[in-house]
Amino acid sequence: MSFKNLVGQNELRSLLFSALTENKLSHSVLLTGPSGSGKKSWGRALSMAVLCSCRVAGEPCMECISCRSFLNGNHPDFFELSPDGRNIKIDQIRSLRQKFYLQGSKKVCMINQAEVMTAEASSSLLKLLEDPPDDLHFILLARQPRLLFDTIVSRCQRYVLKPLDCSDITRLLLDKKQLSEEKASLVARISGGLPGYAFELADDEHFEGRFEEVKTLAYNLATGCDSAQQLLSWARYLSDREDLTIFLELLGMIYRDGMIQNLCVDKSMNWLADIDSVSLEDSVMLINSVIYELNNTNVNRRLLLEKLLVLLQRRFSKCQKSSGFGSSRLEKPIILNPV
Amino acid sequence: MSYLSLYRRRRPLNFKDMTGQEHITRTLSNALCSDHLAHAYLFCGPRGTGKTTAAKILSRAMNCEQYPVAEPCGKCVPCKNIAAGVSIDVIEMDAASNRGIDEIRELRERSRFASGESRYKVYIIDEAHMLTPEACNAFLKTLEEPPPNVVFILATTDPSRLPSTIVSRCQRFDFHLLTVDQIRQHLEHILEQENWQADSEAVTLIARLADGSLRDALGILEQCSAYEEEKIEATQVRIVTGATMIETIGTLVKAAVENDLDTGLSIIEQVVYSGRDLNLFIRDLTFIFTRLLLENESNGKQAGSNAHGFEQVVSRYHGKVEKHLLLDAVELLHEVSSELRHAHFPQYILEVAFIRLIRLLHGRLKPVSVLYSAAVEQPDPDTAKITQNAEMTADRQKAEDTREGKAQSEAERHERSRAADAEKRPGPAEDTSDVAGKEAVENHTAKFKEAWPRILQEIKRRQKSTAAWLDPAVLGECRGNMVRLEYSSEYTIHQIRILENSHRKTVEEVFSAFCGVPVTIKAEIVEGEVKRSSASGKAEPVTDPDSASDSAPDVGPKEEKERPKTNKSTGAEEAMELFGGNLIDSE
Repeated sequence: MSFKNLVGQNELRSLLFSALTENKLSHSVLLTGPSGSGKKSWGRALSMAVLCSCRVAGEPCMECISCRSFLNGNHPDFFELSPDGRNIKIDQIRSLRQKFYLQGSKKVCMINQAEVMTAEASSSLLKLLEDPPDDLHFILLARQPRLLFDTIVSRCQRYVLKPLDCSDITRLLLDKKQLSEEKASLVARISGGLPGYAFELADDEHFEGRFEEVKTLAYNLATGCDSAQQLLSWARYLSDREDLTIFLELLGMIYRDGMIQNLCVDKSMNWLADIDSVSLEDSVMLINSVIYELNNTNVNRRLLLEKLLVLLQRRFSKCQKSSGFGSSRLEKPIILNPV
Repeated sequence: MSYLSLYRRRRPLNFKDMTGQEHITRTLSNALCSDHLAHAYLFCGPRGTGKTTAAKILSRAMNCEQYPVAEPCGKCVPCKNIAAGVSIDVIEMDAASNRGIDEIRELRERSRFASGESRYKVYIIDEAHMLTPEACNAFLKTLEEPPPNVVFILATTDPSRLPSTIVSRCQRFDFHLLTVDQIRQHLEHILEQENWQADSEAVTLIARLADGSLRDALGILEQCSAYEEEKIEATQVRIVTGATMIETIGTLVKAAVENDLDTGLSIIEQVVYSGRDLNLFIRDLTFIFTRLLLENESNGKQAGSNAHGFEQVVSRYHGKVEKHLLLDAVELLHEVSSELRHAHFPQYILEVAFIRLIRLLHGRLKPVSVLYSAAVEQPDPDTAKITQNAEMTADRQKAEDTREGKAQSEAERHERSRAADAEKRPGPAEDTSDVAGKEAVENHTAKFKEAWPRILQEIKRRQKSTAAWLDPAVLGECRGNMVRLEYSSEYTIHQIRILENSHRKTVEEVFSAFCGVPVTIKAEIVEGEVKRSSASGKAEPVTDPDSASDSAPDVGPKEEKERPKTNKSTGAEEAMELFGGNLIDSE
């Protein structure tokens, strides 16, 4: 739970340590990073360090009563707020509010997923964040600062958790898991620099099978060899799957690789060489926006997927006609390794 | 007492200490001097522009013992009490938490009581836009005709959400975003007071990153000051705020202007994985292009001024890109920044944007050379699953048959599928040996032959003269990472020239780019007639068993031209039959 146990993030570590040791930590801190980057662990370590009265060089002492009760999960002055259902609601903040004004020692309020606060909840925090009672610290955790109100962000000291480098994750996977090199690098690319997600994917036994399926779909869409009926059944099949996001991420990655390969001197290796770059660019953007909608809005998954598949196929079929090649040059997908 | 944030510690206590907003401070000071106070004020404006500060100063000034004065004296009892937040007559209310009708009813009740020790009873209602519609309506009558000596000051970031009935009852003041210069001046003032050191580039950068908000600026400054260094420097500011380093952005702009996809793509990857703030990154890029556009408009009269640290980049590329292209580029970058908001793959979005930017600036893309083409092929053991793709995995003969069935320019098709197959086979070998130069190149021998016209074309594009010297050469065997070029004895001069440094370099670059490993070339005079046909890939000499069996390869216009050099073989006629065209004497 202390900073010692957390790996990487050396920039953040030194920033936090200097703020803690020089006693310049603001009363409201905003910690951002993609989900799975360890925000919660860092937030808890920071809370513990703030609450500990006898910390050594930024690290909580782990021995005093504050640290021990924190580790036991019953620190009376540590408040953690998490979404109730989909959002963090104004009543949750109101009910905590009364405790903030109690006299006593330092208090820390950590807000998980601050980006899902309702507009009312965020606004009701504004005055508190700006002028909190003495010895009250706020630690807000969010994926992206831009998902919060400007007025909230402007009141906080901002710290960022970085994703790990692709090659670092590959190495990590090769060290800790028995993976082939290709799979490791593939997983590392999909994970987007998040070690937790990468390990989860690496342990997933369906990964290869899914990847094959994705390749099949990518190929069929690009050649336009599926009938409308088949596309709709693809959509129905996919919409029931729980791993839809990963599936679409892989699909996006395949087309993106095709796009990059299309720009290479030697296109002959590229199974998507017939498809012009603009279509591939559009398809990457389209898949991106679909994943966003799936994860952030309340949509009918099946309808969305049907739309996606039909649009993609239509996009590709247009450029097949114009290039006059038909589908003969299409080979099975070749996935690039990162550089 | 815990540490008090800089923006709270340094909140101005007088109108004259407020930076910017002169249109407001002057009006209010004059109103105070002449005792012409309104009973309701509405302060609106973006975050960090001084709404709450102005409200606090105003409430002190109107209760100051020396009233009417332009500024609160800061010495009398009411001034001190209000500043300390212990006055019973100045009530700061958080409308976002107390937003219901019940709270407003209570406020209405309490406002009827006369003020205690001060002249005016002041209600500062912050975040007023969060009041519910019922609360607003319940408030209307009180706001219009409050009891004597009661003043309401409403502050909000979003006046459009207030009902117009509220707005029309108040004296409205709009706070503006601060300019970079104003923020910079204020920061310098603060630095002096706090006794901190900072170089001017850092201060300008903070001022720019603060986006017009003084609170943001002070927050960044404070965070930087906690960084261990003695003096605040620009790199520190960039680390703290997640802004991309200026050199990185400069390199990307360079890549865009010079049509260099390789560099651009690798920079994007680097930026994404170093956790930089991508919105800031795009904003900086947009800023540079906007600046370039403005410089173009003003004909370079103010080149480099107001570039906020990007002077070098701007002056370097000033005038290099046409105006209408710049306009489009700026528009494209704007679109990207809104797309980033909904990004699931920020890296891909930026890549697509960069590719589009280059296409926009240059019309076409210069192909990526080394970066991605060297990628290791992935062996696909389990291809049977790929539906309707059987021909890809079936044996070659079968594949050919199916394709012949389609009966469209067979010859070309054949060659393509062959070449693809030929490349496929060495694939796994490459995997295991990674990029052992020798093997890699040998595996590419067949590919070189097949792609010889394209290599020539690429060289021609880079350097016409090199292509001319290379033209009569024949591609020999490739051993190790050595590519052998054969010239017949009549082309001695060509052979000598091609080995000259500049030409040699170009040729080697293109070959290296093609196979992804460094390649050196060797040019030799070969006695007897050189079979030029091998260069064009036609009727392959028996150098490579793979391509030897190939009948009709990729034939471009170049080959047509060269055909007369070979004997008018049956091959030529056959090709003419297939593709049409004439025999041209190239001499």
